[in-house]
Amino acid sequence: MSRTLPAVDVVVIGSGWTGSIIGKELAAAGQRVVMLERGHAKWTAPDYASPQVHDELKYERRNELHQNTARETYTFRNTTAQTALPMRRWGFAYPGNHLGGAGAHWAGVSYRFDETEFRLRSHYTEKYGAGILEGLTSQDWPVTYAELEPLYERFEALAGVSGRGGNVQGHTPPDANPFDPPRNKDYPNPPMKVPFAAALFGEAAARMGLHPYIQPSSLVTRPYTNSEGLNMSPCSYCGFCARHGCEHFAKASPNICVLPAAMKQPSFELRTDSHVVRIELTPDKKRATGVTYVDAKGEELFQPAEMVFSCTFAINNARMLLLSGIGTPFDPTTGQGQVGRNYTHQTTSSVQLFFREDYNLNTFMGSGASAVTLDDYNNDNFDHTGKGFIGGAYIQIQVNGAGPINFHPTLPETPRWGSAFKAGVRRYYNHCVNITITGAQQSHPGSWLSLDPTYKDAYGQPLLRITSDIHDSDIRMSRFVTDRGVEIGRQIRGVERAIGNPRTKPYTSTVYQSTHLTGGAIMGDNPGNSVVNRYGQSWDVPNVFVVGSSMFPQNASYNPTETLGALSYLTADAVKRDYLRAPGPLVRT
Amino acid sequence: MKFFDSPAVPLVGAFLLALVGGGIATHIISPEEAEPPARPYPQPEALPGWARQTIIANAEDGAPIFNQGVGGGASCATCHGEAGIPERQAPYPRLAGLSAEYVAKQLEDYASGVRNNEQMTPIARALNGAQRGSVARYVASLKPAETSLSAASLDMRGRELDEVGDNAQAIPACGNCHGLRGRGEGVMLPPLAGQPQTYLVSQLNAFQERRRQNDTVAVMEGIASRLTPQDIEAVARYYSSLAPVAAR
Amino acid sequence: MMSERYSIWRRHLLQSMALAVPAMAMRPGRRPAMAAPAGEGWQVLSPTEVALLEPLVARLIPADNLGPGALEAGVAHYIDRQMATPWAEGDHFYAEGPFEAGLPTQGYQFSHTPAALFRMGLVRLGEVVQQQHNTPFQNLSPEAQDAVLTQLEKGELDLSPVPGPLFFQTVLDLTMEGFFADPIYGGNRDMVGWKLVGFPGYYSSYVAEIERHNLPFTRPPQSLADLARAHAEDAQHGHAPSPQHVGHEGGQHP
Repeated sequence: MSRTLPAVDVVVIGSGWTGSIIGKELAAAGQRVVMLERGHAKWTAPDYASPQVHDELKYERRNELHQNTARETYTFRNTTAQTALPMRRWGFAYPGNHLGGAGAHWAGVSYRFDETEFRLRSHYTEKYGAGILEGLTSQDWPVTYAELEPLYERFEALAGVSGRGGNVQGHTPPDANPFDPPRNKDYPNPPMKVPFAAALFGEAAARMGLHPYIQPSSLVTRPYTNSEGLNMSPCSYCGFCARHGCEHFAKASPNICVLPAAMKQPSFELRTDSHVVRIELTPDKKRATGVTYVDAKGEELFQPAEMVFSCTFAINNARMLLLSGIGTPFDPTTGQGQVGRNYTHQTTSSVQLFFREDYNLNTFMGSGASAVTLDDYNNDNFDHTGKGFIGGAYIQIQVNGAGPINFHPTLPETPRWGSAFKAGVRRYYNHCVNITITGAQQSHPGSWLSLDPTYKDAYGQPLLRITSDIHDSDIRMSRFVTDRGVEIGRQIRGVERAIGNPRTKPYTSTVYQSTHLTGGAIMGDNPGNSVVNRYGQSWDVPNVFVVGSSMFPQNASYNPTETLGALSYLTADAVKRDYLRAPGPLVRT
Repeated sequence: MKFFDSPAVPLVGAFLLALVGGGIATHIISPEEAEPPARPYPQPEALPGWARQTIIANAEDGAPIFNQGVGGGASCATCHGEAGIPERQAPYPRLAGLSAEYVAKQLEDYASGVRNNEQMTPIARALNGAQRGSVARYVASLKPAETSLSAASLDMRGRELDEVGDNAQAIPACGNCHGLRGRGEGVMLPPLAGQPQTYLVSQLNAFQERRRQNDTVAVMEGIASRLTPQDIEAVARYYSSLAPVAAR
Repeated sequence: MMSERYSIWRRHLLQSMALAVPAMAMRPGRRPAMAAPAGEGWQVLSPTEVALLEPLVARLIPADNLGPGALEAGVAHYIDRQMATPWAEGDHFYAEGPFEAGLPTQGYQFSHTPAALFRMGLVRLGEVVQQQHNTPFQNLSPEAQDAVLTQLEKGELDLSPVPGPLFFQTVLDLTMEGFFADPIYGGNRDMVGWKLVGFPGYYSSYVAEIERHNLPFTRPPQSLADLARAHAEDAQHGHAPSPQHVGHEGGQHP
């Protein structure tokens, strides 16, 4: 029997970007907010101070900052004919843990989604006919790019995003991205410095008539005071970035960009080492009464609240709903039910480039987001007629710190061990880089989330089960864009060999693809096509909001953080503006 | 990016030298690199003047400048000490242990006014580029005296700022860039250990008040602006109490 | 438009393009300032295990004309220390049953923790080699040892209940870690792994170098052992413990 704590107005589950933004906004609006974070309270100083944070083994091999699979993992299968088995150790993604969630150890890549992404089904149907979407359940978003534009701007001001806008009130600088969606203002900080390999990529691409640009990034490029009055210092390109915390106060994170402002609010309280096991409902399941969580001492506590915001890592939101009995689980045999539907990852691939020995790429320097990118084969920036797929991928060389435990390249024909390996890695460590290709992933009925019938977490609750394979549409897309990547790779000066590795089936849990897991609690314009409305509000339990990339109806090629940040502001604004005045559904159908 | 605006400098046939790595390399344009572009295009930025001068110069030429000065002006040794080590309470930096590249850049910045100092600006302006390079190399040849750690005076607040920083003020640890315990990192991030306390205080104040703005990406301006006077005292006391080390 | 773009990207490529001197010639020749002391004594592994493991890792990354190999780098010591960590005991390993064989896309599905898998595989390898060759692995010639390892990699040695290729991959992964991880963990002695490939370790700032394209980076590498050494100095001088923690229980420094 759990002990009941004094009631508050708002419980926020998770201290990542979405939870931190919403928690801070609501506390500033006078709401009594309790934020429950399952991980430890880790702050830049002292937890991420250099040099100890520059430890590849600890952070990149031993998953120091990631969800602990021993306690909670996912089960996985490609099809319903298979038995899902647990991911006993991480491979396919690195879900976050600890204060700031994945926002503390992300890479800082900061894109807005393309305008077409928000009306994906309509756009492709209108332009190419409905047949191009055959077999896909990808759908339109219930918000438009234009509605999110000012919210993207707010997130960029929060995170100090560096970059050069390619469409600032119609103006396109020659070195910016001409495919950028329209923006009212340029980025708050200038673009990052360009590593050698990325510059070589840009040069070759420009020579080919493509449109390379410096990737926008939440690593600030000069001293910056953000929209919360919090200070950041410029990036030092130290090369220990993704999967590490940033010691320089340079990589935007909830820990340095939002939480200190939230904690200045007298009505805000952060509780770490607090693992929420479920959202509690009234007997009629129409209303949430609060959440039950387990604290560091193992005591089970009930925190009553007027509103609950589930801001857990990505697809864990779907699990929270399923564990709490909110909404109807998706049934792939009937197509009924919404919770768990449209799980997507990203369709990533690469082109491995082997350089002449007189090209010192020095890829140990860099940052998680130091890249030159092009969008010529992304979104609907190219003609899809007859291609058999929708969407696309961005192509880039990103130089994010090549630690030799994980990066010790040799030619494919070189043995993996022995003197030949040793000679090979010596020859290529500093003369090899990957073109990375990050593609959209479409939703389809064979890709969904549910509770596992067999395997349980450390609290005795069912694990989330992923049933998924990649749709042929995306496999064709990956082949097409990877081929373009090979063409570019062959044009880069100093390249001796370019080897393309397009994504193939089956989808696997063993190979890292990205940490951009999406769906399971998708947003839509009515309860028949979604779990939540445009504000992340549950159609079934209107005082529960489920915010994050779980809302994406399908995954874009671009990294999700800016979009989930913008969606967080959309939710917070709507709650402050309308819900607090008149609690209840914010969208009537 | 600064090199967008840089003037064209012809490259072909020139010998350019790698600097920061500490090694010296000869750069030659191979035929296949010199592919004709579709149109004339701007050449990349040359190495900064101070960097080139440092490479060409030799330390012997710098010795008389360091010890006697030029044109009747003050010599370096007058204030910074013959061995590059000033009086303990002096407001001048200890030069012994600094890299040639760092010193040459400071001299150029004094001369151009990017770094401002009443005493140093006329001295730097009295030197031409070659002389600055030579004296910088001479300075780099001066090794700090071996002294032991002054354990008694370790300032704990200073040590905290060195090793972990201050989360509430968004101050990263000094050691993040300057190397733990002020040992320096590379040639452009100077060692702080053993620098006179008065000098360190004056520089942090100068960064804070934007009288000194010659660091890369203005990182020190932001950090110094959030240090209290007490923090500045503490961190200066801490580093000044550590044994000097040479740039690595 | 294209030419302008092209020009801009040409300008991103700074002056040091087309370096004619091979990078290898630019690597530092001098000894590092801080060599991690060789760890003496074994924490977990038995003399029998060590006797098999040392020659095994020595074949995976041999000492040769390119320099020291895994043995000299202390990889066996690294593995010994890793086997004593919570990681090896499965603190990040989902150990709930039922256990089923699974498909390749479902990844590792054995019940063994990293330590259990490694040590069981090592024992079985020793037994199988003894059976087949009538002598322990360490007494075989290097060529014969390579042949055994090739068989193991290809799944031609029966290590049941441990799948041979899985054990091989485990040892190979551990060897790469021990050769390339920070010396604070007991391997990569004298930073020989880093020096082999030219990885400089933990520099905290490359802001002055990141756009120095094609720079031959010749600074000596530095490791977390620096910090540990500073802490040791503290202890000598009777100072309070540092506010910054480094390494973990398995670290070789006080």
